[in-house]
Amino acid sequence: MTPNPEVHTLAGAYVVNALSEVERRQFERHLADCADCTEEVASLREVVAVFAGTVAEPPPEHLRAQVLAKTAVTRRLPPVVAGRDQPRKPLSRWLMPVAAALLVAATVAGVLFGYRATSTSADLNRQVEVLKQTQDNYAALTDLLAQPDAKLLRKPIPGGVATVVYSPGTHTAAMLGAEMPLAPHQHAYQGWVVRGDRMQSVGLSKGGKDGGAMLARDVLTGDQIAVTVEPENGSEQPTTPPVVTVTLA
Amino acid sequence: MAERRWRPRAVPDQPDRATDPVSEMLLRVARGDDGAFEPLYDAIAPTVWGLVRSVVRDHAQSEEVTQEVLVEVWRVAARFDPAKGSAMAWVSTLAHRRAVDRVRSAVASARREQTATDRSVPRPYDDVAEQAGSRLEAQRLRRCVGNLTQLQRESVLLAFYRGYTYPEVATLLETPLGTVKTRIRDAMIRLRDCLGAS
Repeated sequence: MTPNPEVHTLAGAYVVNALSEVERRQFERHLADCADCTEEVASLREVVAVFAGTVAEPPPEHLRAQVLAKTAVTRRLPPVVAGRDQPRKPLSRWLMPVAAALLVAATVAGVLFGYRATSTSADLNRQVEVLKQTQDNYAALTDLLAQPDAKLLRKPIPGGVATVVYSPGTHTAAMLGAEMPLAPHQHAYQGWVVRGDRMQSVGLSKGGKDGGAMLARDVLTGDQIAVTVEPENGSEQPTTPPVVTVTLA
Repeated sequence: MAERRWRPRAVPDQPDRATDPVSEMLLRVARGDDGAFEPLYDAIAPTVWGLVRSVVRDHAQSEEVTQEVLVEVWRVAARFDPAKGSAMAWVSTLAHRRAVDRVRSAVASARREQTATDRSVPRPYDDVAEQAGSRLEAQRLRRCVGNLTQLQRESVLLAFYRGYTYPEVATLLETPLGTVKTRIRDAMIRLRDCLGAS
């Protein structure tokens, strides 16, 4: 495919973040195939560092403790292992809107699901926590969909389809609940990252069109996302055989 | 819910790559060296804060964004690749992106309306904090910005320090879209060459 020479001229505006969201994604897709542009962008970013350096000023004192407190409880992405991140075909143009639509439905549902009626303040605190996690997940999910290497892995299951969005470069995957059948009464789907003989929970979904999305960070190609049916508050370990297992590839 | 930490995989050594001290600190954080984050914080926080401040303007929102950015640096340190540029370029890009996202979000729309008619061109190198390093850098930048055409200068400074999209810049400067797009690129290339040469 011959690259559109017009796209090249966006490099400057891209580096200073002056593109709209749509153009930004277009340009990032172009970058994946254009070594010259990648080099140009890298060199222009050094100008950004100078722009930033000239407005440096001491931050408020209390910020330091806040940031250190947060990093103490925030997991880092695993280091990138050479050879693992082959450039991949970006999520095709027609799949992206499908995934985005699913995600919007899923996220709105997640917020509503988190805000069921409550009676005690402990409940309320828990729900605020759920809502906050939902918001964090929303940011992470939109970030995931914007990745040029994000792709959809779809697998039919009885009564629906299991969809995983996976970005190898950012080690992030999400299992979307929206096209899965509703979980049985007082039960939920629970997602797990499976690596070797270890399983880690990545969240709960009720399934159905308000099904939410389960976000898995720090995943690698070859890991599996498994979904089991569990009591609605989730289990420490899976208690039923998976309804679906998707291998990240 | 079971919360277990995956063991990080081995990181290939890159001993031959010459890097600056900030890049070294960032690479140490990426490799799992917890103690490297505090010196990294001290090295990058003033730049992140100053940059976010100049784009977002509102003090409270700037604090939020700065905190997000610094925690994000910690979280995604493994994505930093010294072969693709300096740590400061990587951190500044991340900070600028977050700051711009904030001013374009619905929450901040009031600020946009308020300043939509503000077409005064920022001159960051005229108002520099007391750090000696910044002053020197500001002198270089002032000189290089002085070599740009007026349209190049206005386009790139409005886009960068005000967080405007290039169509917004085109409207403010009453200049065709395509012209602004190419002027921003021309300006960045000229600045790169000028700063690299000095």
